Amino acid sequence: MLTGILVPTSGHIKVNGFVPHKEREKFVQGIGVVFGQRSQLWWDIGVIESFRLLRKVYGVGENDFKRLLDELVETLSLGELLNRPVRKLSLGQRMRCELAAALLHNPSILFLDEPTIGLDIVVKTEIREFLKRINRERGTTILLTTHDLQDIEALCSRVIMLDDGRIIYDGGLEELKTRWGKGREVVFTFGDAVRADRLAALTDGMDVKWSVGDAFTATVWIPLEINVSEVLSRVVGTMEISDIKIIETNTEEIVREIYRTGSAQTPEETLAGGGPSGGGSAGTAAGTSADREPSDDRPADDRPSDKAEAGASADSSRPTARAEATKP
Amino acid sequence: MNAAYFEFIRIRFLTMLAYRVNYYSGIIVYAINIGAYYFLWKAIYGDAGTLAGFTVEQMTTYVAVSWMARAFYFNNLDREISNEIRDGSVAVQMTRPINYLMVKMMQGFGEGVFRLLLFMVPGMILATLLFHVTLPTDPMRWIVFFVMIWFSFLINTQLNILTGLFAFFVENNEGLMRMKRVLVDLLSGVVVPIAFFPAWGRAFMDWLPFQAITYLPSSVFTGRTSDAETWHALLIQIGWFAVLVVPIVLMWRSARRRLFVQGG
Repeated sequence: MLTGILVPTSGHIKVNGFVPHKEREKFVQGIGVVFGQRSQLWWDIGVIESFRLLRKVYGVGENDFKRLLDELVETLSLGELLNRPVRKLSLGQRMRCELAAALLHNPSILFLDEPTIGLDIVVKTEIREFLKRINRERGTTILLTTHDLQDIEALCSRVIMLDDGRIIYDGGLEELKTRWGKGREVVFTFGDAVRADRLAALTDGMDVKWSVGDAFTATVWIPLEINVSEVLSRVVGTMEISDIKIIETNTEEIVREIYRTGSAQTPEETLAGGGPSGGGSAGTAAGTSADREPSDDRPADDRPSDKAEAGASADSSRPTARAEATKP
Repeated sequence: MNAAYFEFIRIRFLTMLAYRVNYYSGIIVYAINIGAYYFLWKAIYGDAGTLAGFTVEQMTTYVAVSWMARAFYFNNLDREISNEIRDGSVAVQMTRPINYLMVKMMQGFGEGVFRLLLFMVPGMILATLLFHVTLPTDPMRWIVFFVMIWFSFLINTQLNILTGLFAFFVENNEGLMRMKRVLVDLLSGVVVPIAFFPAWGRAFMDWLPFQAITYLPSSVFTGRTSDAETWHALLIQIGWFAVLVVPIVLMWRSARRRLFVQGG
């Protein structure tokens, strides 16, 4: 809906000064779109041919095109891919080309629909770095939907979570963490075998929870009110420790928690089971079924354009299902 | 902007060229088709000099020309459009500052030009050598013919677009597309010239766009029409082209409203 593909059934929508579905051809000049799951490049022709075609489609001048292309080829290291047909690219290579294709006309807003889906960790990191860079250097507003919460952690300054067409969270990521995060975990590996009651005795009077793994490892859960160093000092002073790991609250956990508590309508078994029972059609930024997403008509032009943003998840029961699926 | 549309023609042409091996076999298939109809008609004619106003030579030429015209106007835009609607890539196209249907039409044209040059021309030469095909010598008739098959292309493509767009409204329009293909081949006069239909059939056909696709241009080209009739035929084509724009625009408008992407 935000990209002008869908026509809303009710409400108002204005992006970048345009009403997307009404002034589509003018509006899309200023945006770039990448769908993680489908290619916008032409399957049978070389990458560079696709780029040239896009240059004509967007009416980009020859010189601007060359300059932008050189820059993109360099930052995304596309050099050797340019002359290959798209069908011979791997997913990661293709995604880098897709990003370049979406940016060739220097759009002021870039929409990304699950840009890192199915990519390996190296390419994911590269793409995140690249997105941060164009956000910083060109001031491109980036709006992305993702089920990969690491994307959000790496990129986003504003997070919007949708559930069943309603916004259930809209704010910064840090705020999200502090408001919803309930504590941290510390994993100890001890030099000698330990017993649970011994550990519990150490932190007597503190509201922490111990769980013992095997004889040598134990995990303690510390709520936000208690200082981690306080717990550590009690343990470290008396026990012989070979390793300590501090685990911050996982954003995934937080999001799961929000979806569980924040939306009364979502049945819990859907969340836990991970089956997409409610959501038939999948989500783009605005959700694809026009009648189900009335609340997404928020004006986009009141956002500072130098901020990266994220709609965390677009569809009702699918987000947590996806989040779970990404964990092996 | 227009440069972009031209670019779509060029790229489709090049893509087709990249897969040209497919089309070498296609030339043979067309030659066989023409040959089959040639012998079939010869058997039907037997000793008769003319049937429904066609002499054997005219019939042979009509068959050859019809198939060659078909090579130019024929395309799979209906299938392409319905596939793109069903797999959702139409959404990608909608994020570009171009008209989706125009792009499709241009791609179809690129395909048509490819077939015209690498298919129709060699096929025609082959057919002329093998069978008694007599091509007109009057350059004016050639020009009119090319104008007319341009309109054949437009009308056929419009029908394809309409059929393809049905994918917005039904989950699966496979049957519709097959029906359309058979209808076009049968009623446009590729299989049987319209003149062979019974009188009520011809009267009925006058009200359908199909004869404008093959029958009219082929009739003109084989020299069966007077000048007045030729212009009349061209007018019918232009008329149908204009008329068919209306349902396409209406359908596209309402399709935009009910765009949902099947499977993601």
